Formats: sequence, structure tokens, C-alpha cells
Amino acid sequence: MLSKTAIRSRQLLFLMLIARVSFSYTFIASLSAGNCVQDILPAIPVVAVIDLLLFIPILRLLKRHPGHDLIDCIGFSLGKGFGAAAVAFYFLYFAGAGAVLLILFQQFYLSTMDVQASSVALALPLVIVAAYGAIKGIESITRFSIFAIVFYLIVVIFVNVAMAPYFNIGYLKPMFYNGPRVFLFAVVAGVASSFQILILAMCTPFLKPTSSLTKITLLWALLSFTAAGIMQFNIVTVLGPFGGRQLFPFKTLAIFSTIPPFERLDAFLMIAWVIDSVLGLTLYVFLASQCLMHTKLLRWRRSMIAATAAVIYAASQIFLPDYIKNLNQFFGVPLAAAFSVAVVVLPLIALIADLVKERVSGNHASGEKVV
Amino acid sequence: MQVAKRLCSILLLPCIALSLCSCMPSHELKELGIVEGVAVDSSSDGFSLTFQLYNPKGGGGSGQEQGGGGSSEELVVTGSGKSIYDAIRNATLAEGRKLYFSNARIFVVSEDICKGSFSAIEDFFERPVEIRRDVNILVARGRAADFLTSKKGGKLISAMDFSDVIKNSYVSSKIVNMNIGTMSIRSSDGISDLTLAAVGVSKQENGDAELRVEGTAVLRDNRLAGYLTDLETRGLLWATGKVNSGILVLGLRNGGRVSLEVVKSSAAIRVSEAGGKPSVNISVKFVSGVAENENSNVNLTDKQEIQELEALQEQEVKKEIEQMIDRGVHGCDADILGLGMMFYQNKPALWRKISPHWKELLRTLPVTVTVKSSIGNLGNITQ
Repeated sequence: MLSKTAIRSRQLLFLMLIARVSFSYTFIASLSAGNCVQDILPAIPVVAVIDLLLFIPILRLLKRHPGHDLIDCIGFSLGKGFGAAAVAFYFLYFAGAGAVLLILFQQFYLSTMDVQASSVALALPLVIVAAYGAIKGIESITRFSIFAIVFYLIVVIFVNVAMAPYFNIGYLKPMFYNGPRVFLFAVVAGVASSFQILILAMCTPFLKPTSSLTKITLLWALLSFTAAGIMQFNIVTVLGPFGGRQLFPFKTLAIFSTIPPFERLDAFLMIAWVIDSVLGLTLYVFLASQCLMHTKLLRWRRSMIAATAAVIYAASQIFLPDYIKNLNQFFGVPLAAAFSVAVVVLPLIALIADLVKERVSGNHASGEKVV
Repeated sequence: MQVAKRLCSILLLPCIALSLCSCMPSHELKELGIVEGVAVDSSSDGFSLTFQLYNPKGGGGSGQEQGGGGSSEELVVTGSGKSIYDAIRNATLAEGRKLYFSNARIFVVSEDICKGSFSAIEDFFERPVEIRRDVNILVARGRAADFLTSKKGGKLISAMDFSDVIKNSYVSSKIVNMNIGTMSIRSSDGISDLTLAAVGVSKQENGDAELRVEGTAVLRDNRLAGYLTDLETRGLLWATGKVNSGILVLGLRNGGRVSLEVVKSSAAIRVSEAGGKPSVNISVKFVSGVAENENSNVNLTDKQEIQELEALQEQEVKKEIEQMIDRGVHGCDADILGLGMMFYQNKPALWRKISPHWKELLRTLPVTVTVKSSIGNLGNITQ
């Protein structure tokens, strides 16, 4: 799908970055790490390397069809039938990501701010704002991402500066005392949460033609994992095993932080969280509806966005109670399986099909010449 | 111009975001019982809680004990229940207003509770979002409620005022300053034991009560195991590098006395292994200055005499640390220095062997103490 809208590679990079840091790093340490919370730290560079390797098929596929998004590429490589299936699959994937983000926001709000709030009333305005943002289009979303990243950086810098005197390097030891369980789980959860490459894959048509996809991906990996490393380092060295028991360890860290005249910095973190949630949700509504634009529904764009937002809202309300009960399980197999299919398996099959098709057509061409 | 506009936008946007924090959930001030201090006692059905509330009206309703004379700004409310939260909610049966804990400064826990199981209320401190992390936890020698209902000059002694005693604990370096945040971090490793400031109420001749810190309560596996005296408490603070003030009074051979004020200190605890057995070395360095020279005839310009004073103060500090170890570590079998965590971090193989019987091992754990000091200033006079 070709587009007249143009965004800069830097804008897309910020969008991917904020989507990554807001998705799981703020709470991943809570995954029952306990006294082995430090084992999460070495997982971060490992996740970065694995991510870059796993992104090779998707990047190669996109390079072979410049100006087209992932669903177009799959359609070109595997035919219209697979293209339609890809539309349905990626629509569900992005809608699912949006629903998870909405559930996380609701859970965060209900756990830390107002236990008596209504989840129904809480999510509704957020979804309406997200739908409005999605209607405004990718340019507005990317512009908002710059503000979100600036605010996020301010919060992270504040918390880091405030907590610097309390660093206890002793908490970094020993590594793998209870075996590699925590490390491996962090790797799986980290890789499975790195689906933001799909933002790049879906927004390629909006990028200025001179943009380098590889460069954006490398920078994204470097920056997002640096940000994650800093955040996790703080959690481990300041909170120690206590951080491994927290549902929202970075928020706990912000509660401990004091920079005069602010007695606690968690209010800032909450603002950042709300901004990131709005941005993330808007993005996933946009991307999910963008999948539908590959069908004949293109002329009902606004209605499609509204319908997508409604689906995300309904899914969040249905799955919220189950998610809370199965928090740890969610970041294991289900997320990893969805990630594998969306980011690795489908693009890889499409790439192989593309290469085979090219070879066959090449052979035909050379054969014709011989004849 | 374009750049200036962008800069202005970036600066203004956080302001907009700050104003969007919203007022939900909102709390009307008049509908809140602003808690300044909480005392937790055990009762026949579970817990009995006493709350000292800030009273903006200067008057108390029925069922409430007021500070007195209508001029006091504190009033006391009680509630009991099967759990802490149950007791808090039951307190509203008498108070009417919802208790609000964000302004609380101290939590006093009775000896009874600590002897039973402190962990029963530890969860309460960690879980709620309303309670600040910097609230001090104290152990009352006796009933905790007495601490918040004591009067001086006919008025309730404010929990807020007493919290200043803890806040300024660095002046004497004889008070363990443990708040909810540090307590949560410390106890979460499951190895280290807690030390909390112990407080008591004494009656003065005129009938007024006096609240004071009386050493440190040592909790072993979240149960009260004993107390440290003031000087042993300072020994604990020496060993953990938390002494940055306080007076050392040195008795001289000639009967005179020299008081030295600690200017700064640092400490390092090193764990080691010898023949498969653990051992610990605590080294402390500090700088002091002469604060008072009472009939000692010490010539403070004489290098040798200064060195003698330094040796004396080192002995004094070493004694305080060793007494703390004897009572707190060897006597109570409590890991109040976080030694187990250090073995876990630095000698994981050894820790794997010793961890099953760590607390028993503490009884005989060899600890060596080395102290080095210097006298940094003499004040304004040379003798």
C-alpha cells in the first residue's frame, strides 16, 4: 500500500522507542525474580542480539519491495489468499497489543492509584482519545511521540539522579545462583515484547524514500536496550530483591526518589505512563485499522478506526480479570508464540517464497533466452 | 523564530500534562481523618490500633480523646479488628471520617506484636499505596497506644513532633532510623534481620509524660529477640558507616575527660572464608574534632598526646562495635549487619553450604574489628 504521507526516519525511531520502553520494561522485573533479580540484566544485551537476528527476514522482505508494508509484501510473495490471511492475522495481533496495553494501564491505575475506580469508565476515554489520534494519522502520532520521549527521558533522568547515592553494586552479585531460569525467562519475555519492528514494517509506506530501514532498526535496538539497561540497573542496584517482588518496580523506584521540591517522583512517572499509554494505544488502533485498509474497506477509514477501537476496548474488558490471574504465564509462551508467528515465521515464509519466485522467474527468463 | 516556537511548545507541554493529573480520586479535606501517627497493639480478637489525627477544627467528637483545652491540634481514635485493615476500617465507626495515611509520620508497634510475629504487619506496610515510604517504624517497650496518648502540659504529645527526634537522629548517632522503604528493601532478601528504634514513655515528677528513644529492638526472623543499648546502637551505626555526628567522651588516666565530636565516618564489612568456615572483618575509619576538654591538662599541640587521644577513641569505638556484635549478632543470633547477604553476594559457594544453618552459625561467627581515626580539628583553643 503506497502512501503520500511522509514521516522522517527519526520520528519513526522515537515512536518505536517509546512503544518498546512502555511495553514491558516498567514491570518485567516483577516476574518472580526475587533474590535473583540481577539475572535479568545480562538478558538485556542477549535480547538485543537475538532481536536483530530475528529481524533479518522482515528487513530483507521489506527491502525487496520498497515503499510497501509487510502485508503487501506477504501478498506479493504468497498470493492474494495469504495476503488476506495476513490482514486478518496482523489486525488481530495489533488489536491484541492494544488490548494488552489497555489492560496494563487499567491494572496499573487500579493497583496504584484508585482501587475503586471503574475499569469500564477508565478505559473508555482512553480508547476514544486513541481513536481520534488514529484518525488524525501517522504524522500526528509520530509528532506526539517526540513529546512523549522527551517527557519520558526527563522522568528517567530525574529518577536516576535521585537514586544515584543509593546504588548498591553488591546487589549485582551473584549471577545465576539459582540457575538460568530467571535469565531465560527474561530473554523469552524480552524477545517476545520486541514486536515494535512491526511498527516499522507497517509504516514503511509513510517513510521518506531516503530512509534506511536497517539504520532505524539498529538505532532502535541500541537505544531501547540502553534505556532498558539503565532502568533495570537502577531497579537492581537500589531495590535489590525487593525490586524482584514488585508489580511495578520502576514506579516503586520513583516513589523512593526525592528531588527537592518534589518529595516523590512517582507522580511524574504516572504522567509519563499515561502519555505512553495514550500514544501506544493510538498507534495500535492505527496499525490495526491500517491492516483493514488493505481490503475494500478503504473508503470507510474512519468507521474502521472506530470499529477497531471498539474491538480493543471490548477485548480489554473481557480479558482484564484473566490477565491479572495469569500475569506470569502471559509473558511466557502466549506472547512468544504470537511474536514468533508475526515477526519471524510469516515474514520468513514470505521471503523464501519471494526468493523462490525470483529464482523460478529468473530461470524462465534465462530459459527463454536460450530458446 | 521557528526554533523558539518549538522550544516554547516543548516547555509548555509538560505544564499541560501536569495540569492533566486530574482530581480523581479526589478527597475532600473535611472528610478525611489525617493520620499523623499509628500505634499497633495486639488485642483479644487480633489487632488494636490507635491513631493520632490532626484535628483542624481543634475539637473532638464523641468517642474521641482530644488533646485538651480545645487548643490541641491532635485527637486520638481507636479501632480493633482481626487484621490491620479491619481495625482501620472499624476505627471509622467512631471517627466517621476516612482515615488518610499519606501524612503519617510514625508507626509504633508494640512489644507484644514484635514478640509474636512482626511479619503479620510487615505486609500491611508494603502493600498499600497511600502510606509513604519514609514513615518511621518504632517498637514500643510496652503498649504502643501509650506512646500516642501521652500528654505533656495537658496536651497530647504530637507524633509529628516526635518524628523530628528520629529525623534528627544523626545528631546523636544513637538512633536507628528505619523507615518503611528501607525496612522493605532490607527484609525482602529473606536473610537479613531488622533493627528498629525502641521507644518508651516515662513519667516526670510533674506528671507529664516524656517520650524517648531507648535503644534498638533486634528482630530475629521477624520476632523480637532483644534490645541494644544506646552505645550498642551506635556500635551498629559505626559498623554500617552511618555515624556522621555524635560525641565520644574519653576518660583519661589523670581523671580528666575529653569530648570529641565525630565529623565523618566510613565503614567496610568484608566477608571471607578460611578452611571452609566463614569469618567477617569490620573496618571503620572516622574523623573527629575536640569539642570539650575538661580538666584533662592535655596539650592539644603535642603530636604524641593527640595520637594517644586517637588511640583512645579508636578503643572506645571498637568497644561499642564489639558490644553490639556480642549482644546483637552472637547473643540474639540475628543478622543485623546483613552478613548473610554479603556471603550470598561475595561467597556464593560457601553460602550454599552455610545457609541452611546460618542463624545458628551467627552465634560463633568470628568477627574482627579494626578502627582507624584521626582528630581533624581542635576548636578555637589549644588546650
